[in-house]
Amino acid sequence: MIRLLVALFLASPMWSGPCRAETDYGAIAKASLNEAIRPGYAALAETAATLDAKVAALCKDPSADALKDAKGAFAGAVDAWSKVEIFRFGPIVADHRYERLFFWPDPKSLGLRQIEDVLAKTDESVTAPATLAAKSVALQGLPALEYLLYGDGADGLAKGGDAAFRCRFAASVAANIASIAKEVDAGWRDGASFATSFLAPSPTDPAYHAPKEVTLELFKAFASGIELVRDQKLGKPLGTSPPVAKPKLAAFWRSNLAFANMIGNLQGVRLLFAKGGFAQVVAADSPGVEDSILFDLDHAIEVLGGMDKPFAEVAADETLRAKLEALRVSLKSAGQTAGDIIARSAGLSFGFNAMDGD
Amino acid sequence: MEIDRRALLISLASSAAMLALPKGAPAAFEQECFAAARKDDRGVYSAALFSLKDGDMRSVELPARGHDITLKPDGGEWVTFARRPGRFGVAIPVDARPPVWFASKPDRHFFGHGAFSADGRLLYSTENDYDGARGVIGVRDATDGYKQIGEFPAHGMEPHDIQLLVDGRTMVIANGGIRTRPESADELNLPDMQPSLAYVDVATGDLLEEERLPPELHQISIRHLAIASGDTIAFGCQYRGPEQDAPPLVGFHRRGEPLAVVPAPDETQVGLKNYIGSVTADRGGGIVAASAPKGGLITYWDVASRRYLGVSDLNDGCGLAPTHRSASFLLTSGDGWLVTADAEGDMARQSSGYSWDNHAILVR
Repeated sequence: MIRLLVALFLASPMWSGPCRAETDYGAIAKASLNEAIRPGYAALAETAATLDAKVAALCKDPSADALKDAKGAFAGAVDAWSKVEIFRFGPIVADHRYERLFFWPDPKSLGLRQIEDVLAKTDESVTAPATLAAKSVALQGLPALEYLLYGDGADGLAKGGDAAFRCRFAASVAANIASIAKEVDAGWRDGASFATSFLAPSPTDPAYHAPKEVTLELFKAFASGIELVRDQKLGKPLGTSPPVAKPKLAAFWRSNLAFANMIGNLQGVRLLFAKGGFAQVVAADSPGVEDSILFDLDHAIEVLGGMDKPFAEVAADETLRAKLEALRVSLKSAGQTAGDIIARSAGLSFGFNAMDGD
Repeated sequence: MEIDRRALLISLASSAAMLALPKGAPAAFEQECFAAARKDDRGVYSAALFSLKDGDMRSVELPARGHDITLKPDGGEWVTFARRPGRFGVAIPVDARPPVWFASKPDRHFFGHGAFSADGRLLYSTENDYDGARGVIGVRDATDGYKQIGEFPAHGMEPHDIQLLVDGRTMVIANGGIRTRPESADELNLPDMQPSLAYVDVATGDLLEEERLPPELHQISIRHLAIASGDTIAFGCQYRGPEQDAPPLVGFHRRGEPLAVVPAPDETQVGLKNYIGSVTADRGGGIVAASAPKGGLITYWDVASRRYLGVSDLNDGCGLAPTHRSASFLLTSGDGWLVTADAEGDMARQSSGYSWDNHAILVR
């Protein structure tokens, strides 16, 4: 009741003028950078380095345990990636790094076909990270490594022998992932050119002309991160009914990390909202609403955490599907509620048709 | 906005276009068919031929987001292009024949707009030669699977919307002037961008006339256009300078005459948020609508007097198409609304499960 009264007072015209603080765009950029972006990419660089080491160890000394370790390190890197997957700006989009790291979705299975082709021909040129990096993006990132570690024939990695080429290919992919992750981490450090544009935009800067544009970029990561899970990760693979479901459209279905990936995405969204400054923007406009948005995100993470079957089985199960469809609805409403308030208070335009240049 | 809407009602009712008989009067009573690109509730992109009464007549799934639609002059098929910096295009017959897919060359991408030659044999499209840092117009053979047969310079950076004038030989090109590359959203030349309206002879590729804005307005990117009555070009712009400037964004031009940009009343001008997303002329060509999706406003303009008429509200409203009636438009929105706004100031709204893309056209 007290909260309601406060909300009413704050919403009354008498208060709305003098009490509403101007959105501090610079503070949002700084908080998002230090609380979400930098720690996120640092974790990716660290887990990718571990992955690189574990796959190298597997090739050097193949065993069931070594394969298990490599898979564990893969899951760790996927978790770290999932939390920063929502950011599609900055060093990660330079030099096609995003696609090289995460070529997805791949509805025509181009990646699978290219990998099978390389395996069939034992094309040694993929086993040196430097030459691999110049090849097809579908051969050099997390989805490629997923196939090598979990796809048909992956069990052989534990024994070496015939699988030695496959392992060298996997080690090269892991090294490439580690090197991309390291470059992105470095590209966000203090003094790096993109970090400078991000924190101090200017009218002549090609990336950002004003601090408000950085806020819009971050807000797009929040809003499109929710949409990414709602539509691309759940909506399309689930389809409208079990017979038309396309579970192989789900990201990381092969490693059974599909739900972990979605959880990571939403954790990334939550962190950006809670620590990047948007929760405060919402709280200043409509106290209490920021908590309900966090509640919706937490609830979604919990529901996804409860999916203890592979994606394909979930997609065929009416009860579980119903849970996920309900989650899609609550994610949409959380995204819209937050979006409307942030757009209004921070003066942003981010509608479907509000892209610069279209 | 109530006052503005009333003003629109009065202005439209008294405009010359209202007095003119619509071309092919009986058609005014038939259901319109429209076409537009869109996204559904699961994130699937498509382009559809539809009517407000019966919904979809044909829908084709797209690999990524589409942008504008252009209609073959015989009305037999329509083409949609990938939104920039995409590389796919697809021609979709109005009957059940299969769609014909085509792509840009590897070192080009589409900007999302195009136009057919007057005889329907050629398809022109705006494309980015990004390594060459210049805009080009791609030429494809519509009678031979939309195979690319050539290209000519757009005589400017970043050609966006194009149309052919009534003579069927003169192409007008809205050159946005902003240099971009497909791999990033960076706008590389804002301090010295040079948007233009270029008139080109499609038979020779020669530049016939070029119009630029005065130097102080050089950051007004000219992006969309419509051909209104008397070959008057109505164009809509997006401003890349400081947000608070709120310069005029809607302009008119006829060949050989000076170019004019016309402000809306102050409050509306600021409300446009420096961004016009689409421009279209009504059936008679006497009234033009220009949408401002960032501001959630649709503005209306009288072509003959080059005068602002009024405004209506539509959140994320961008797509505009004429209807069979004069001074009447279909408005589409990213929120799923399909609206007809007519001369009486009425807005008939219906919702749909789609996010409608920036542009829409009247097919028949």
